[in-house]
Order: sequence, then structure tokens, then C-alpha cells
Amino acid sequence: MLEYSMPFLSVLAMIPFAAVVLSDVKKDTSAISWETTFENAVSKSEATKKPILLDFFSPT
Amino acid sequence: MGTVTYPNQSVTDYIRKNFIPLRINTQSKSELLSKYRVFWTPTILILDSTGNEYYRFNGFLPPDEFIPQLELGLGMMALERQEYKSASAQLKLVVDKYPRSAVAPEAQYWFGVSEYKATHNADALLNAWRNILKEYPESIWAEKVSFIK
Repeated sequence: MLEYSMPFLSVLAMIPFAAVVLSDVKKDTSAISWETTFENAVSKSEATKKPILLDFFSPT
Repeated sequence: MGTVTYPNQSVTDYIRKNFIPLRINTQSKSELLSKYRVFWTPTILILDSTGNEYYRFNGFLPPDEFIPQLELGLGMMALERQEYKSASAQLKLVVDKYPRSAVAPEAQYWFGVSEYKATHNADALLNAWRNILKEYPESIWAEKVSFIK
């Protein structure tokens, strides 16, 4: 019985970690993809015809 | 902004749909700091594809004021570029969609200007401005049009 239940328990133990990984992936794909250089922003703005939103910030 | 406004899903979706977002750390000594005369954070600018500045504001805003402010910025950008049809539509959207936002009276003011610029019809301007007196009598924008009857 133990022989069969060990793999099951192993998978069960990984669920919380998988959930964390999946939630991080989900967060990344839905977050704002900030450009970090003016040149890249201008290039993408020209290509997409979208204006640039420039945020000057101080790290907290 | 980074902990409250930008993580908000509505803000994220709005920015992804309408802008190319660029973030510059003021501790990076970027030449953009002097180019755009930045002295405080957050400083938010709307630029065209060549880097020309059309709109700016300073200070933290929660999501329910941040999006209307950006919507107003897009309207002002169109107005400054003399794209009056687009400007009128955008500025009207601010008033219609966010009537209780802090920028709604300003959007109504510039909507009137845009309508006048497009049509040279003074009635369009006056009607838009009368609406400020009616809907936003306590705002500074009501003071700016208080000379009309």
C-alpha cells in the first residue's frame, strides 16, 4: 500500500509549489511590460502608433 | 504607484492597450531627467513617437483617478495636435465615463474648446461651458467660465 501511495503523496506535496510558480507566471503575463530605454520606447511607439507613457520614479 | 496603482488590473490593461510604457529611475542619472525637467517623483508624461511632450502630471494617484487623468492626457494630446474630431471624442469620453473624477470639469472645458476649433460654432463652446456651471459649479473650471451667461 505504501509503495503505491508514495508517488501520490509526492505529487500532493508539490502542489503548493506548483501553484506559486503558476501564479507568478500568470502575474508576469498580465503585468505592465515597462521599457527601460528611451530608444526602445520610441522604436515601439513608431511601430505601433501608440504614444509613450513615461514614468519617472524613485525606488522605495 | 508601483505598489498600488500599477498592479491594479484595470490600470495594467489600460496602459497595455493605449501606451508604450517607459519607466526611468531618477537615481539612474539618465539624461532624460534634464531633458524633461524632472524635479519630483512620480512625474508622468505623455509623449509622441518622437519624444515630444504633450501632457504631464505629478504625484501619486489611485487607479480611479489615474485612468481618467491619462484619458484626459490623450484628449489634450489630440487637441494640441489640432486633431479636433479625435480630441472631442476623447474629451467627451472622460466626462461621460468618469463624470465624478477630478479631471471631468477640465475635460468638459477643453471639449468645448475642441468643438469650437472644429466648427467655429460659438454655441458649441458656450453650451459645453454652461455644462460646467451646471455640473461642476464648485470647480476652478466653473470660475474660468463664470463670465458667460
